[in-house]
Amino acid sequence: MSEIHDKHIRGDFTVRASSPGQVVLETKALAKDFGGLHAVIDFNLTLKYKELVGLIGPNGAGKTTIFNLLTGVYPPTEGSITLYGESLLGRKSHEIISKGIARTFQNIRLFKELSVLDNVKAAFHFRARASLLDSVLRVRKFREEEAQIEEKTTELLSIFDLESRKGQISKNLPYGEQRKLEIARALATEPGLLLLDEPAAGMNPSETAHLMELIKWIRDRFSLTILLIEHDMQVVMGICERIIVLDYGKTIASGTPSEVRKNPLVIEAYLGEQARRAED
Amino acid sequence: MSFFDILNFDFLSLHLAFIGIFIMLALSLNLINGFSGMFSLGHHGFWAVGAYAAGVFILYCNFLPGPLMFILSLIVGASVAGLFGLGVGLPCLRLAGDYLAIATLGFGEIVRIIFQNLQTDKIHGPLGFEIPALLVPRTAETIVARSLIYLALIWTFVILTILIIRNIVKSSHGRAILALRDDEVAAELVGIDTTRYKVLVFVIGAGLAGLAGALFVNFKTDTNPEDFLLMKGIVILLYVVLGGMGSISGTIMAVIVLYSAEQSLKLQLFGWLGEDIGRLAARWWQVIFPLILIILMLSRPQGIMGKKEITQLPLFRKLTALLRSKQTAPEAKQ
Repeated sequence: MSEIHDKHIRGDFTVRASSPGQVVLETKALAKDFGGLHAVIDFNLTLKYKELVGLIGPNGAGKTTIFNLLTGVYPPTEGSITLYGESLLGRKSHEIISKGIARTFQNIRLFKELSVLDNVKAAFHFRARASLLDSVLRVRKFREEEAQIEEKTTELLSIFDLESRKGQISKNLPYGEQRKLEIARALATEPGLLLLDEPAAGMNPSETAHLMELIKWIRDRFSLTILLIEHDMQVVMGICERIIVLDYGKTIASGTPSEVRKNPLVIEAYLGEQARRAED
Repeated sequence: MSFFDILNFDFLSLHLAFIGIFIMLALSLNLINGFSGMFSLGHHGFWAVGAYAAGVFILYCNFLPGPLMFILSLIVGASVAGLFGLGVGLPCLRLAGDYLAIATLGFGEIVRIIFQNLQTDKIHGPLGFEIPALLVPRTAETIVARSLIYLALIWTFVILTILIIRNIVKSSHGRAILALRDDEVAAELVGIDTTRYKVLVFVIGAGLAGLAGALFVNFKTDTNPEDFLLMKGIVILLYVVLGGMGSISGTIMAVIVLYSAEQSLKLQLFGWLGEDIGRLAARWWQVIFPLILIILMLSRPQGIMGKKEITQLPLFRKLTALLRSKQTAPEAKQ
């Protein structure tokens, strides 16, 4: 299974980074202002091959903004982003995805009216080489490619236990399966770097535990580097090798889970928020 | 006109040809409004551009034998309309929803008004123009043959349009278009060049409408700006909405049913219920027809077929299964 899988899913994938210690993503002095609001200030991040890094911080700390900057949803005000040494500034989102970043969304964004199968198939689109004319005329190139996409998709779905659901309209799936489908769809773009935005949001403890295993497992299976936003401290502390803490757009701490846990600035940011909440 | 006049050949061929042309128009609009989720109100504009481009080409470049001119005029009509689709699509991409609808509505009206004021030696503004019959001359002896040839041609193009749209939708490109409809941000973030596909959809939709325009003008041999009123654009949109946004078979059904209903009311075909009723229906058709539309929209807001195709209905599946089992049964006995 593993060999077949590797051959098909990773078959035409140019290996972008393969040795530990190789830098996948680097941001320098990244900043984003919305009008007068400094959403992200001087954000520096270096992600190495197969690292699993957590990004945490109170609400509004700028975590999702960083994901949006990395995937080109909006341009940074300042700073640089490089993926495998190549600058991503000025690139459109779909180009960045084709270079090897994939992401999921805090509020799940599936193609709601499409089937589970087509949701994943849509993510293979940018690798498809059959032209519009090939598709209209149904030439052999098109048919072979469709068969290949179908096969790859089915394999991905079976990894996520979604194969039996493949004909269903995606909006009808239960919440946990929608999250899994979104990850499967992200993996279909064959990324080197996966950005997960609160993957455990809305999951119950047993689903969360399963998810943690799954994240670690796909990291190894697909040789991924993963950057993860999460509010569930159990998840972050449990699987991340390194954690970065944001507050009001600034990086206030970074290090291993145990280092971060003891950091007084982090405690203040979180306790401060809890104290404010208590007052409300 | 009485009910049995339907069986008149001229009457039937004329309306079957128009139904074919409206199916092409409605399907190409469904590609834009139904499958890709944009909203165009200017489809009559692309239709008019196709008709006028084909007409101008025939009027001013008629040096080749008829059949060749006919084919070339179709190509000219489709490509010029496609270019207009590109011209409208590119700047309008920054717009979405209502704003896109208004911009395309403006386009349709500008086109019509330009044609209304177009005066040359062969095109006469509001009176339009007349082209020579290319394939078969329009004489009393050839009229039946001509109608049959055009019916065959128009319906061949209807089938081609159906196949083109179906094959696009059921391909990687089609999935990109459908993904774009469901969630533009997510589509972009799984690597789909959403801008490119929006323009592409506009160009294909406009090109097919232009092809319908070129067929229309060749069939009628004369046309004028009144043929492309905004109301025609709205009727095409109605076919799409009532058939089901994103359903090919639904669109075809809607054109056939609604076109027939409209014409039956207009032409007093309900005269068989009594002459007075027929006349009354004809006088009140502009009230009765919209009422039918309102009732349809209230009872089935997703259109006749929704997003489904006829092949996906349980009844259809049972029927094909039944047919298949009957076909294989004798073999099984042997």
